[in-house]
Amino acid sequence: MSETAENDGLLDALPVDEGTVRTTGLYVALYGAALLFLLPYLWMLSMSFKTEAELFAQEPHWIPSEITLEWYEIVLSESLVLRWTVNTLIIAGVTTFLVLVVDSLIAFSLTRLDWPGQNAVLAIIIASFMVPAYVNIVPLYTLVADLGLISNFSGVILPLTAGPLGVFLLVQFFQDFPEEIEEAARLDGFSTFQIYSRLTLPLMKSPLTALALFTFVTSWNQYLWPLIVLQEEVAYTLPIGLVTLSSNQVFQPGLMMAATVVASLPLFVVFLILQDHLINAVKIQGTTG
Amino acid sequence: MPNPSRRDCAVDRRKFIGAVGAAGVAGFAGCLNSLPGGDGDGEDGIEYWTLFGGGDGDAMESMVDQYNEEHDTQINRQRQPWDEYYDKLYTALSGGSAPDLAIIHTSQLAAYRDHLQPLGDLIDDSTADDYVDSIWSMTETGDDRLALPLDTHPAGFYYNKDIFEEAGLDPESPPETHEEFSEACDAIAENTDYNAFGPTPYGGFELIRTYFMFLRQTGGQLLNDDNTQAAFDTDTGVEVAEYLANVSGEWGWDSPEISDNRWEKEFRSGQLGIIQNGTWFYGVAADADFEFGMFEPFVYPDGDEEYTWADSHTIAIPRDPDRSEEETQGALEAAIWLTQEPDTWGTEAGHLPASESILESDELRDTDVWKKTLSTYYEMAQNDQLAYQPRIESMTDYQDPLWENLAEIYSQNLSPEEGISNAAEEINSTLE
Repeated sequence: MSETAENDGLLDALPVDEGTVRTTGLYVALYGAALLFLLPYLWMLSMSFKTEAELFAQEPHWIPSEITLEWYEIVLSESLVLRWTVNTLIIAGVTTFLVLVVDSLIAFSLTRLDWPGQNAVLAIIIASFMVPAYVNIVPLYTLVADLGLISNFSGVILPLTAGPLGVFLLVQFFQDFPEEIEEAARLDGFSTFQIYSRLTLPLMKSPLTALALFTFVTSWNQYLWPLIVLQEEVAYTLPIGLVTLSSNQVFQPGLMMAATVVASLPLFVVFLILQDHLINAVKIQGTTG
Repeated sequence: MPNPSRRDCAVDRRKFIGAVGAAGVAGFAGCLNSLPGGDGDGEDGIEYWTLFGGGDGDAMESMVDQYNEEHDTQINRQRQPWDEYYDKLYTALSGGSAPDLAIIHTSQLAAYRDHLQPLGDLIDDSTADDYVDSIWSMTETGDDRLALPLDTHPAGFYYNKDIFEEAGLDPESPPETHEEFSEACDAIAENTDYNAFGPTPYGGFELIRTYFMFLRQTGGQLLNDDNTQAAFDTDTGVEVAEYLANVSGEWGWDSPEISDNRWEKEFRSGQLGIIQNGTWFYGVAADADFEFGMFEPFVYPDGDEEYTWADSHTIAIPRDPDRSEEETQGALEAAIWLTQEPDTWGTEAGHLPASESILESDELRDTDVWKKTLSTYYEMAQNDQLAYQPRIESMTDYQDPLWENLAEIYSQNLSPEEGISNAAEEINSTLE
């Protein structure tokens, strides 16, 4: 009891009100949580610079006493890491571009045009969420093999462009697009395609960015499908190529961590570039939903 | 919103469509042209799939480079990720884009029997004579010769000489009998702060290896003769499991925790006295800060027979209806060359080559790896002391229930009787 009284007294003496205390508490909690999320990444960085002796030391050290670039040298010199990065960029970039074009066209047609069976098509698209991706792998593989797209980037890209998530996301936003603006544009002589390209797309920049980032990250990180389709070392994406560096029978944490840092850096840059738009997209969803 | 004139709109629309089209075409052209082989069936050379990373990967790379320098036909080595290697090979085979050569473990040969080109008609007895008999016969499935053995990689026990010294043991005379082994482990447990014995290097799965070698040392078997039932659900099988349970329990040689790579980490940081591991461990152990030694794992009490767990890498030619006879012959010659010519696989990767001539060569026998580990492994191979696990189409059918229960036993969560009968029950219901 006495402690509480003491604390109260202390607070009274300071020029703070309850609101400030609450805000401070909130920030402390938020930054604390953020730090928790950051910890694994810091540990990854720390491990990638450690010498073997320190990696296997019984007591963990946050800051390596001796910094080594050995693991990065192995990753950069003994592998086609540059080639793999370019491959991944091409695949993720083209996939993102195609998803944006295709999904926005589909969503526009589903929400802003009138044609019979719209609801049924939307229902089918949403229902396809229920089918796990793994179920499709065998038929998809036979299809891609029959098309002669094995070990070909198109074989990796095309199946991803038909995902339901993008359509579903954009339909939600396109539905809220005010009729009045569309009518006004029509009175001004806009064709349907102009409404799509000159009104809807620019105004929907935030959800499109969110979708772009989401697609890019998914495509960047995908492992199983490119692994099945791509059979040549020169064609690998980063996630596959980096796995081939390590040996199953010899545990090399430093090498793995350096490889992971190398693989995640480009994504980090993409996120930094797009983060404003991403935050906007989330804000819009929060207030209009 | 400003009111654009119709002319502007038209120009913009064309621009937009043009841009989309151009970008799309450029993107696709980029994809299609960025691959050298195009559809990847390797028409100009021998397409060769391996699963080797780390030091093994480097050794194989230099072998392939040497082949390519000496021959007109080129080998295109494709390094595939280890964990998914067999799934990927399977999909490639069913998708009709099989490689010309592929590394296959002996333990996997049965599963790929229908997908591999039998070599019986293509090779003669003189080829067989070039390989160590025991390895050659172990890599045969039924009547078919499906692949050429590259090596054998048995398990042995590696020990830390510093810890032996600290425990008051003679670091130059490792244990040879089960009494000596028990005394050594007890001494380490009592006189030092370190763990004495790790029966698995990487995790629960490799407990199978120690269990299997001890089981064979007492005359037990994993499966019955026609591989339709578990054969380890006997007093002997339970006793071996009890031995493992005592290691982490009663005797205090190790702690009862199963976590990934724990033992390897402990050994490499000088915190573990003895570890079970394979030929490939040489390079890693040699890099450690302490002196290490290796001895034969024939230390099970009442073990009348001397066996260690082993497996082999082999090189096989996957079936491909589109491959000409000439190409098959070329692939076979490359496989013979890779398994017979370079000594790199022994000197650099530390595996025991299957080729007689390499094994007898001075290049190999003068190396440190031969003196420290390979000579002991060679002795075991010569004495027919290699035990290969029973080969069935899906190895996981019996491996998974067995290691999962062994891990529970080792963690002291299940009694040996219960764990072994659980494992046997599960295996029997799957194999039936």
